[in-house]
Amino acid sequence: MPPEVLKGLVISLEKTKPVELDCNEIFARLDEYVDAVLRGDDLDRLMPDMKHHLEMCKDCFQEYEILVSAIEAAG
Amino acid sequence: MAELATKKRTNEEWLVALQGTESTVADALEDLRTILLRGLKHALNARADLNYDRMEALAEDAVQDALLTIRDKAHTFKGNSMFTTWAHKIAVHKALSELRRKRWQDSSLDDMLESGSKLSTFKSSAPGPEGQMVRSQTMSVVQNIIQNELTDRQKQAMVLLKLKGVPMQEVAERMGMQRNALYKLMHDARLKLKKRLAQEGLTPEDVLRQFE
Repeated sequence: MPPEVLKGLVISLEKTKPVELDCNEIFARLDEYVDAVLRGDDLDRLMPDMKHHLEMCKDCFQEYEILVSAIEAAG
Repeated sequence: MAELATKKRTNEEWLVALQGTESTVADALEDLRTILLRGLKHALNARADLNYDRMEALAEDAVQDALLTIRDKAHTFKGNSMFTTWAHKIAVHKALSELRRKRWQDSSLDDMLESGSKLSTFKSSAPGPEGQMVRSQTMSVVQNIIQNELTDRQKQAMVLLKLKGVPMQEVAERMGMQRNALYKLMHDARLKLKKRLAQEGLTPEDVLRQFE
């Protein structure tokens, strides 16, 4: 395994929690989360499990980023 | 050409319109189409990592598909966000699902796994130069744990996700599971690796130090 891949894996171990939200739970609340981001709410305090999953899951994070960008562009 | 102005609506107004007469539904969907398309096209085109030569058509199809879902599911909207945020979420999800599908549609599981990325990839590589004994010992503990403690499915998923960079959705489909179940499979794998490292007296921080 290339070192950078192994390193990425170990970093993800560092952040692994016993219980994590899954992708369906993230999608169900992604609109609520994004509105909170755009309002500037403190997500570490309000929705830490959502924030954590987005740090762990590349697919969900991509959806999140594109959703924010789409809302901002739509005005 | 100036874009036609869309009527500003509150959440309540969107829901009433979408569950109203044929004419209010049509008006609301048309306004929503304008809003969603404006956002989605811009968001997709702004991403260099999503290069696709028919992006405009893909965005239009995704929005069309999203509008049908929104019309049918409007009654399930819980009101925890702006209605338009919820609608954008559905359109973005459809567009990205389709983009990922198109990007990987010609790759079978075997194609993805070939070219030196089989499970043996996880075996220790050649020992490092002299003076790096600690480093290579720690690394071989880590690699042996990965090799010996994870299930074949966990290793297969790890190769595809971490080594090949295949999206979760596409890995899940080829492994005959939902994306959600794949997340859980990988979460179990991470928990197992973390626990076994701890049994070897190693924390993730110890291992990360080896990369410095």
